[in-house]
Amino acid sequence: MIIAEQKPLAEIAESVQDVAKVLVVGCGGCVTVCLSGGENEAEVLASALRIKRGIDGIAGEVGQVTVERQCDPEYVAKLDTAVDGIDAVVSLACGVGVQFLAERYSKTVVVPAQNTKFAGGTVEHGVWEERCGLCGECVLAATGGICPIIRCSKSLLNGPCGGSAQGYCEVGKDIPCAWVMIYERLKKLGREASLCEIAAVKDWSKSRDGGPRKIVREDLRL
Amino acid sequence: MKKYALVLGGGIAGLSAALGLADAGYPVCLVTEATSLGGKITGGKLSDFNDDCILEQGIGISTLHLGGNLHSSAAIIGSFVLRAVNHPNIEIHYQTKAIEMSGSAGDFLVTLAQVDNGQPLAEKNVGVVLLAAGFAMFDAAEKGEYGYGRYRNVITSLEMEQILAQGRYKGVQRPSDGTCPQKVAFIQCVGSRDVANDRKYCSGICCMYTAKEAIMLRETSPDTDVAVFYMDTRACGKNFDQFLNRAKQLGTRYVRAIPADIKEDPINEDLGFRYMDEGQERQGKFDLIVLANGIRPALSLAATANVLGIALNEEGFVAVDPFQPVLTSRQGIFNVSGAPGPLEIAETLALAEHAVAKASLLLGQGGEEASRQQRRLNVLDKEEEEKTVRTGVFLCRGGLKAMGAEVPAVADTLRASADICFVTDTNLLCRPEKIAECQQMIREQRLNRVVVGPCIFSVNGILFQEAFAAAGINRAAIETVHPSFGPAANENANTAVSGMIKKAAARVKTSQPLHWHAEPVVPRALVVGGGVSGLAAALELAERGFPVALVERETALGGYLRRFPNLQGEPRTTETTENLIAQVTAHEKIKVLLQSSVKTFRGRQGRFVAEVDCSAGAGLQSIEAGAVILATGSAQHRPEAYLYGCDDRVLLADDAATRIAAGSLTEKRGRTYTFIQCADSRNLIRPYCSRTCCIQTVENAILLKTQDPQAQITIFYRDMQTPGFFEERYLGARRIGIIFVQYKEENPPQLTKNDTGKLKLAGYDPASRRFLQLEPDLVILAGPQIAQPDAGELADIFHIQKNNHGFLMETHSNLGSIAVPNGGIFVAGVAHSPQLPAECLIQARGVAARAAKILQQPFLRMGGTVAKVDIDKCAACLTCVRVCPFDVPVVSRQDKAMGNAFIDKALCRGCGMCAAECPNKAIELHQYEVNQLYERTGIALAEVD
Amino acid sequence: MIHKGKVVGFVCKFCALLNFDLGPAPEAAIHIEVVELPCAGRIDSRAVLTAFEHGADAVFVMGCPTHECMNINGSRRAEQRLLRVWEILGSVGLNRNRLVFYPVSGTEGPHLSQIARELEERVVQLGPNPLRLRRQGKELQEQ
Repeated sequence: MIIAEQKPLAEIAESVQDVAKVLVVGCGGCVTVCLSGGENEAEVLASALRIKRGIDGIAGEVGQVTVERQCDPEYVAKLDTAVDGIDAVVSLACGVGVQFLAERYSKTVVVPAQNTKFAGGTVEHGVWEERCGLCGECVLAATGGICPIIRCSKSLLNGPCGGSAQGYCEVGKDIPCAWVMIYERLKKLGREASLCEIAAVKDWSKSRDGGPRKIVREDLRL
Repeated sequence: MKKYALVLGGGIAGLSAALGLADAGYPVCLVTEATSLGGKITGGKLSDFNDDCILEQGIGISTLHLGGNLHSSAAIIGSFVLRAVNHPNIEIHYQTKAIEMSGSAGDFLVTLAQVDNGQPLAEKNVGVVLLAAGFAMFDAAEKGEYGYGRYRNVITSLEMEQILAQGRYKGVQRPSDGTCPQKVAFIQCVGSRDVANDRKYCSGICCMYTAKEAIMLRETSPDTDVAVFYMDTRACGKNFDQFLNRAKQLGTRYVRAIPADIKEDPINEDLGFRYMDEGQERQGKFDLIVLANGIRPALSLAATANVLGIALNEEGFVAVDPFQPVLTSRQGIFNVSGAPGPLEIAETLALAEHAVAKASLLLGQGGEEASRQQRRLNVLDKEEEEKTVRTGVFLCRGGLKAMGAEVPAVADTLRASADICFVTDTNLLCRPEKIAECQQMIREQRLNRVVVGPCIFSVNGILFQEAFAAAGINRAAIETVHPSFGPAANENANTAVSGMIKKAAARVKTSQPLHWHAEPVVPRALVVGGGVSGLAAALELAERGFPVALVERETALGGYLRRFPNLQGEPRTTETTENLIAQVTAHEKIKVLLQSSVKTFRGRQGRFVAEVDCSAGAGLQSIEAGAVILATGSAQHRPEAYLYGCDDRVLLADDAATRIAAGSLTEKRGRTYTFIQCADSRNLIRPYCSRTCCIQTVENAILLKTQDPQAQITIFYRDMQTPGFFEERYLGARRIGIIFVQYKEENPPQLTKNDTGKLKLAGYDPASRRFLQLEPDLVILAGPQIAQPDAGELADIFHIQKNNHGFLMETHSNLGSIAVPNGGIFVAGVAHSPQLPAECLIQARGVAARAAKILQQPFLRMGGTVAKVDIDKCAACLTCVRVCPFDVPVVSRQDKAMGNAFIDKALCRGCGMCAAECPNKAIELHQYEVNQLYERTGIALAEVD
Repeated sequence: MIHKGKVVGFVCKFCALLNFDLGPAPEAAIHIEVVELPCAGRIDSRAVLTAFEHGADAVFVMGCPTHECMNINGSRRAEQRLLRVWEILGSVGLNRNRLVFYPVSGTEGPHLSQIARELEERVVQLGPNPLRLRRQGKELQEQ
């Protein structure tokens, strides 16, 4: 899922300090599952903003509402009544949700409450790690299910660099060397011979470096 | 004629026994010689303070004594009185005694008479008699040198209780002039351990109740200097050390000296005495002295015993076999308190449970009276929502008076409130007649919400809930106001109280009905641990007809006592253990699984499922049980001190005990034996007392000396923990020439070996202020009992807690009933805390009786405060699944294709953690719902006019 | 001069609430109200913030000592949750000391008076909740 982390409260408060009516919008999707932006957090943030603005003497009100997701137009549309009359919307969604809200409510200020960090998963409750770089051309079949783009600090595609020591990356002692992991995994599967095949240079235009990406499924369009 | 169970004595033991029998459906005749129920718990009237409150604010000795995790509060014990008074199966006779009895077990004829003039009142046909004689307090006036009765500021501990109870509202006041005492002294052992007054035994409870009074005093009045003068601090029960330490942390001074007499300054009535503190003479000056007077047999016990035809022991208490303390010398008459020796509340209640169980066997099937379970199931809480909220307020004058508020002012303010449609006031609201009146009013006024109070006893909340639910209100809509924090010092009491009640009315307006349902009970018990406690519990249950699965991880039953049969030099222990093993092995209802252990455990009271790994070949077995008893024992710690392990001449007490029993140690005559108590115990790492060691040491020493009168025996101790009748053994040991030397924790004896290999022991004796040099032939160490090394794993498997020291923990609000919250799991024996075999048996049997109460019900009412998932909001994020301490939520696809969390309302324990952690607020805990909490917070802070 | 300080306590119904029966009602100069919880673990971050929003000068959470919690880790989770609330308090301009966690065990006897005195001291030292002052149109005190 998309993992996001809340911005410092001071930053969020500052981005809406010059408006009176604020609406905090939570998202029931990824950010709920990574425990940073669901209804609970929306309520906490709204309450915190009310207290801060109260102490700082900023007039106005702060309300909160949460929708199932902010990345589907039907769900976003559900916010119409709530957003009506609001000066600024603070969205707890990932960057996608913030933009969808901004698009629909183009006359309202929409600010993000979170920094969208990465695509990752839960390694233990309260701990999330990046796993996927959304590179657009998945090579996991060749690397035993371990992503060299993300888990290798240099995103190398053909084996470790000279900095790999004792199975750890030179960037940090807590980062296992992806290529050591890949080798060991493929060995367990009996497929380490495949490492002798050289992977071609990556086409980064399929990743974020080719402009905003889009997928169209003609067979599904209504 | 109706056949009764007769309970003699209205203190906590009698109340517990009476309630136990009445709940089971037997008609009970509860007889007390006093004018009210409660015994030492209520301690008597506090002059004119409060006639309108049923318990008159009297809070007795043991009530607030907090041992272990038994938060024995006045409220809970007070609720015993209230339940008894309200119980349809209990007939109470005050100021009555039994004067004649004939017949035999199962069919007695008892004549009851008035206490003052002996006028016969009634003749009752009685099936069993439960004697709960309790105890009387030593008359402190007998110790004339302390001036009790002559000096106004020398008081007894009970009197101190009353002063402290009043101190809640009026401040602590000393008797002579009502000023707050600046220097208070407690003198221990008044009338206990007292050869001159022929009270040789230790009363057992005084060290702890003094600690409690000291804590209360220092809490209420932090400027008052408090000193306790003692001989030994007997804090040998579970967590007692912690309690005592709190007293010390709060600044109480403990001085090891007992004054010979007390002198009074006739002008200001201050007091003074001389005492020896480590060889130095000192002068103490105090303005209030509390005598911790000991216990003696109840004054009328001798007469009653005569009527009942049962034997008393040397000290005048009921004569019992310590291994079967509920049985008296006459069949059909059971003992429920005061023997063997003074008991803690926990033990008393365990004893009462066991006595009830035994008595029930004699009485046969429950009477025609409805059992409590039936009555509860019959009451169906109203569950539909009404259109209009109609809230009624029942004011209790007792509570109002306690808070210093006036009825008319408060009532008027409340009537003016929009939330409240009906207000009435009465006194003694918890009495059955008043409750009946309230129920009538509920019906007449068509009330669907009720606020009751103020009431100082929080457990009355349960009483009112049951009573008014019976009148047709869902119990979630009934709120009892407890003035936990009284009006602030600068607040008007009337305003404060009206405010509290108005807030309660606002809260109750938002309540949602709670729902219950019935779940079946599996009538089997699972006992984990085949030591003496597990065996006794299993046997008790099997005798009552319940199948028992007994899981033991060793290759044989018997536990610790099988390996060390000679504890205390008491051969009966061996006999008892062997008997239990034989009976359990032979019993057809008990399935013994040796070399087995529980691997996983889930479920709820009434139906637990345990996966047992039977290494002896049978593989993994699944066992279902309605109740579980954990009797997993404890372990020995090998002390790292006194050359233990480095020299054959240094032994651990239990090893020594075996050899002493065999007589092998005294083969060589005239040897020098040194015992060292608290070896590697009662220190920073293990700051608790292991309870059994001093007693064992005394017995071993006596045995040695008896075998070889030439033996030189010295015992180094910190506090001699020989409570109760064991004190007399301690006295006996000294009389035959065993030397006892006290040492302080910071200055222990030093054991060394010289070049010629002789052991040298040097110890400092604070009394003589001399250094002693000994050359022991043998050193015997009393080390600590510790929790089993895998107690943590066990606790995890069963989802229960362990205390600081690894011993399995019991629930808080459960006085003495060794159980964990939401019931069904019990702890007994030394897994709970170090104790003697006889004590283990009391506990195990009490626990078995409680377990039986669960198992004998076909259905249990479950539900109420449980969590519910809103599947539309659930993102199946797994938070609740991970966070729940009892592994209840599961993600299922039954309701939603994407999957959502599902919480089984039969399994949920109602802790609310899932509700708090759910990132999308998809889980609601009934009665503590999200909006309810926010509203209550708002209400709490609302300005009150 | 002690104004009528307002304190809200979120109290678990086991250790904490029972402790209330054990001790005398303390004579504090502050007004203390209690919201009952089934377990300290039920404490809601928002509920605590709501209390401050409504003008509480101090808020306390009372539960069993973390190793004694009847629900195994309820007390511990509660304390963990409060770590975040403390952080939030710091960010919004409320002194962190306005929120206290009291682990209270029955094994140590009555605690109430001690706690009430402690709370009173805190409230006196910290002054009234700045939100309350603002609503009353007063000048903000130095925190």
